[in-house]
Amino acid sequence: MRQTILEPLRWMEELTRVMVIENGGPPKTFLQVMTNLNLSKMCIGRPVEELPRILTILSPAHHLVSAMALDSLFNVTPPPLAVNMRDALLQTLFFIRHMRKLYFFLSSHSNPFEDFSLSQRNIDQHSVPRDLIDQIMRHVALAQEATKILGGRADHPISAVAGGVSRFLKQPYYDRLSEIGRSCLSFSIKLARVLADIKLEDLLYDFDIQPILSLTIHGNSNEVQVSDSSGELIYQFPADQIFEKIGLQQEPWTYKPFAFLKEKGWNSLDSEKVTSIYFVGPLARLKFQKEIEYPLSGENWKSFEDAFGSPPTFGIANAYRALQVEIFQAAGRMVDLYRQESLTGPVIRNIPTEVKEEGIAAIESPDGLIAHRYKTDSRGIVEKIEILDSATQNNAIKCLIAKRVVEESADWNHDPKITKGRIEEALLPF
Amino acid sequence: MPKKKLAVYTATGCAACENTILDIHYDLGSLTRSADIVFWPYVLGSQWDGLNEQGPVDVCFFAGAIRTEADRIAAVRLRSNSKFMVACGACAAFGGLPSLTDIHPGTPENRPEHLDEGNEFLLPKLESRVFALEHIVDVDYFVPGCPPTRDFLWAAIQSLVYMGDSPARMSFAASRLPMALAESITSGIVPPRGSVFAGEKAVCASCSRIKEEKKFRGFYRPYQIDPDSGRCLLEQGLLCQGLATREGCGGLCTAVGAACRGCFGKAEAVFDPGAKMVSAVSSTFDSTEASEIEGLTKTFVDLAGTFYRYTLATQCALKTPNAEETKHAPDNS
Repeated sequence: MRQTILEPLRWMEELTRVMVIENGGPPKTFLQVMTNLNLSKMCIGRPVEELPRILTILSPAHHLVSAMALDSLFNVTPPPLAVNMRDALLQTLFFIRHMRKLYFFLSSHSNPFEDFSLSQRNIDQHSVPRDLIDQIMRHVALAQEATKILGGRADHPISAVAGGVSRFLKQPYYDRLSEIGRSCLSFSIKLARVLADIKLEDLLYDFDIQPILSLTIHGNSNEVQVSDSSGELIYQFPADQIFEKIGLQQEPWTYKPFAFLKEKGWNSLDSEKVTSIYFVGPLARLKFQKEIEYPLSGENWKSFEDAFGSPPTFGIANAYRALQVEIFQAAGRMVDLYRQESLTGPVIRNIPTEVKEEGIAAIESPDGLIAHRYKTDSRGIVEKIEILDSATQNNAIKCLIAKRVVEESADWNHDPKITKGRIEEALLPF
Repeated sequence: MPKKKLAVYTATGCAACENTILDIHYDLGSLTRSADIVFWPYVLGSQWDGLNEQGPVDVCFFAGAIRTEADRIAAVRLRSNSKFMVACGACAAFGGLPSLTDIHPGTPENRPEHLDEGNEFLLPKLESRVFALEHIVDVDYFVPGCPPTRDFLWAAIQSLVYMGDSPARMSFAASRLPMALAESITSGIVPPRGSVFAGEKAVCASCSRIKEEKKFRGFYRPYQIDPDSGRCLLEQGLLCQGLATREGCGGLCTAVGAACRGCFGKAEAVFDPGAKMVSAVSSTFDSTEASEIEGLTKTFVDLAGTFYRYTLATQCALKTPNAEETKHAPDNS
């Protein structure tokens, strides 16, 4: 038996590696998350109102869904100003998250920290202009400034509280947010134009993934929609039933559980046809969209449609295109929501008057569907938490992608670094 | 002058500290004019064998807490390869949020069942508890915060990477540091070992909220009131930890109406942040009636999880690990 470990994988927020076992037959591939945060143990016994601050350790979007779970737990409705501020923060998080992924991808064939003179000398035909990569990160930094204004802090926001948000904005912030929004929007358009001239398939190891289900929350319906590989809706269920419908399977070789649809039952990842796991995230969301709201005209959207295929296939290059589409949309919504009239109002929060002992919420985060459910005692002390974190628990898909790359790279063990790079690029947009 | 070699690594935590370093590089100033980043798994995909080929590293920014055997091994390897080891962020400096797992007894570990059967999929074993970096290896400097503020992290980078090669950079760094630390770096001297790149006083010193008399008849939980925008949160009955916490953030949380939770660790003059808070709060009860005081204390919940939110592993006098715990092999029983 031969065992090869590819580690650590780039761009993963938790230490992750790929283990390949060869024992005569086809290689067996395992994607192992090696970090164990043990969120339950971290949160049980805490006052429930502290969870939005603690669970940002997962990602900033978890701050928002946690605050929404508190709204449900305390049976309180946030005022329109707070809803807009939270939404503005969420759209900014979309922009940042996807832009960072594009930055990682576009700089993956060179060292982004190399001396500029050296990097220019070593440039190859597929390299992306260094200036474009730098500009992406400058706009990420700008958007980070907006999250600091809206969320109080950039990476671990704190402003969303039960029943609303914790502060009004001051006048100079409105002007600054408008500047940031306009700048992000104009850059997202420029980026799309530049990237339109680059054939993604030349930059990465592209392949389509087997037909599989996708899960999204569409619009404001608060219904979780399950669709097939062509984007056709199969069924839907209320978001507050999400933990009854989705189970978590713990395998012995990774610290992260795998999310799956309980109705279909858990399939081993070695099964011929895996039916219970699902896609989330930009590409899954895109399947539902007939056209893009912001700011692409029909003609521009047509060029994207041509590249995607109809319906869009679940492929690696398409996953990167979906990031681009969501960057425009997020930037467009940022401009709308950053307007002073959207972020002004008489009330920022409604004070809760009861504790219901259970709160649940689900939203579309940049990486896909996330949900929280809390159970508390009558004083609001946490007794149980359940978290659906698509970015990590949906890693059954990521395991299948890693497996596929290894299986399709006939010479994978001659140069494992190349295989590692292909796996990293394939996992990044999901 | 040869370029310095930098390493960046995160153990158990999130990517916020690393993202802050990325933001600094692209928004504040290029790290690479005076340094080569030779090891950064998150961004560059650097592998351990590459670290050995690179030779000694000048400065290693280590983020994240020590939760697994892999974290411990990484800390030891990077320490042995690095001239200066910097604990970057609250997790590396104090154990951070992951150390909250050590407060609540009895919850089963989220650990796969077959780990100890010696199968080929072995995952790194969990340590017996969450450790801060200094429990495992010697740490030269600390940059606290969750995540660290860009200004102080940038000051640390300038002090340790540029080290006297640019007066302009040095004065920028010095303007953000306590006087003793600033004087040493502007003199071209390496800051004293153990220096903390943050303020010395408490957060209250830089919080813009107006402080008046602290006298309480009742305390509130954050969901129960909408505090006045300009007044001290503690004086409005919210448990704000600013008076026990090292300044440097400029009162980021309190400016948004959220109470401080101590991510910069205890202030220089404080021995134990929880003890300090209990002492400070209990001395402000506006009553001498025993029954009234007893009623008041019943309004508090989860003081340990509040006062040691980020610092349980290192700054809670009752929880500090002994030498045996830090040196022993991981306990997975």
